Amino acid sequence: MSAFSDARNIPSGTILDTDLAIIGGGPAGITLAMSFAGKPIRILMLEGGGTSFDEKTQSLYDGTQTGVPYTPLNATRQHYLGGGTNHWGGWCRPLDKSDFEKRSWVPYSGWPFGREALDPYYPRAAALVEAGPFDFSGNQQWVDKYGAPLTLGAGGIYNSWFQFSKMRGSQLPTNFGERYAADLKKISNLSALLHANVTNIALAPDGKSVDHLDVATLAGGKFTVKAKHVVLATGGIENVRLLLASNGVMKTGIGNGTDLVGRFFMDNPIPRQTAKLVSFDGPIAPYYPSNQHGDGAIFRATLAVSDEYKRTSHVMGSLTTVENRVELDDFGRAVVATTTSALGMDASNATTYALGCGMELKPDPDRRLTLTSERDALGMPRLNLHMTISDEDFALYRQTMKELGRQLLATRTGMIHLDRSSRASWMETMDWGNHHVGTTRMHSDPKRGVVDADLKVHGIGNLFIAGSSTFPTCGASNPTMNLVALTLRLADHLKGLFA
Amino acid sequence: MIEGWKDGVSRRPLLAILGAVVGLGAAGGGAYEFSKLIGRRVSGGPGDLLTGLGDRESAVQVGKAALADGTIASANDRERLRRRLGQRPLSEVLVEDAVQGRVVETQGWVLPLTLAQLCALTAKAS
Repeated sequence: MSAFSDARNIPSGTILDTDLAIIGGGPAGITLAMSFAGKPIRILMLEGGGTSFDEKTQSLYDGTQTGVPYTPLNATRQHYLGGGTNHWGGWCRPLDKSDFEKRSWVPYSGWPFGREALDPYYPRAAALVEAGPFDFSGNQQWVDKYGAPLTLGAGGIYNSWFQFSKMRGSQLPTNFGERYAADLKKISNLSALLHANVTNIALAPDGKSVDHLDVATLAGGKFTVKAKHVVLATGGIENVRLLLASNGVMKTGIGNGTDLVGRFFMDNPIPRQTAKLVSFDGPIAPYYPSNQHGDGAIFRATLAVSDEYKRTSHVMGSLTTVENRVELDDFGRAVVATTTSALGMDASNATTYALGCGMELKPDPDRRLTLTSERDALGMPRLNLHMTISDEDFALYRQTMKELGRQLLATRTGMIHLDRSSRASWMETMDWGNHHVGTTRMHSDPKRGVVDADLKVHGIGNLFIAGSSTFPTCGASNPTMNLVALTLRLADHLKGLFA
Repeated sequence: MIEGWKDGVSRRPLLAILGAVVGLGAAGGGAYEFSKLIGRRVSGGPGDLLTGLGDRESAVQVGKAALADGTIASANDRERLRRRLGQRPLSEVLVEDAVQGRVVETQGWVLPLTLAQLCALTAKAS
């Protein structure tokens, strides 16, 4: 079989045999496939879409929603080769060490390993997403070129950095489907099937292994894939749909013996204009409000929460970004004039910016995906997403912003106005990262997780899940580079199984 | 609410102190404007405490907001403020407030507690 094939040309009833079947051609699936290049292992990647957007294929993602407003399910992910990277923003930052910890104030927190388990994979992950050199602590050359960061002094907030996936002129960041198509086609042990939608993971009668995959196309074809090992990598929403719908042996769905599949859906809320930052000394370094280039990287500063502050103040992670310059109203000008005067500062050059942020939500088992009675064109049950965000989520971020304000005053650098107080005001400017996390959570205990530390579905010998759906908590960092690192770790584990 | 300033302090000693504090304010490098203080100071009370506040109208606005939204509790009084300020520059006290976590929120603005209290006093005196 050639590297890229159209599943619509495969006769119904065909049985394909492979060593490793990868369901999904997004960043996780493509990373995994490329990790096996040249290995004596036959890889079959099954991508439900083609190489570009198609409305009929996209409509397979239609679903219903309840709870707080969220991106429609058929818009929050694009159903073709490249998956989430077809419409991501390119923001890259490793998860914090505390993101992996069991945090007493965060129910259901704690990964089965620490960040040190991913550290060896981050440089390769950064290379795959085409970020610059793996440096997220603040490159001195950036500071030399663009000026010093805000002086924040001691406290819970510190200057941190995003890197960005490379932009090519007006092009979007690295789109794995487009960027790596040629590389995938060169992998002699890889077959990639497009328009191949897996509609059922059929378990062996004892429920302890995957027997085969049922695959369907929108052209009406149906065929079977048999594989020694299967990796499910269709994202934090579709992974759930396929696991729950595959209920031929396990009546509640695969991996769902303790009713965890689909629960704990997480995303990073991105409320806009959360606060105003007044810099007493005039405009701040340009790497705060916009991306800058330097030393082989595209980067932007962010105001992050220290691990120590999270531990002592029991707040969640958040990454605050400086957005655009704004003007103060009369009262705001009076406050700044009074404060600067009292602090012995000159306010004549004071400059104000709107702030935005990416927040980390507390895990909530009721924020969940469930199957509905509606069916898609392939006969698969559709999903409902029940979305929640708690008042506590807002309050904890607000507490973090107040800490930033305290630090700015303590260093006589500036001050903060908190723009949002009521739930209604937070929701006015609410946006979402469209980061789908947590729905097949990882835990060493089969009663508390869908997959184990090696991303193997508990109780199923040859079924693994790749992607951010396995993250038990989401942190505030964007998931793509992190899920790629986790996928590289999975690849090493799978290579061991095939050795 | 800040209470007690109207009936607890006579005006004459305060006016005497005011002259000394004006000097301290200037020495402290603040943006204190003597003419504004004299020109806008209203009858009695906390003048000695307010020397570092600069433009009085702005401080009154902030103070009214702090009183209106309950930022400043009634327990705060001038004597406590006077002890906190001592002979130190106001800026030093405010920085100390922030370092030690004594910040309050007034209509969304995060302010050093002492500043909010002084502004409230200013508003009450206006």
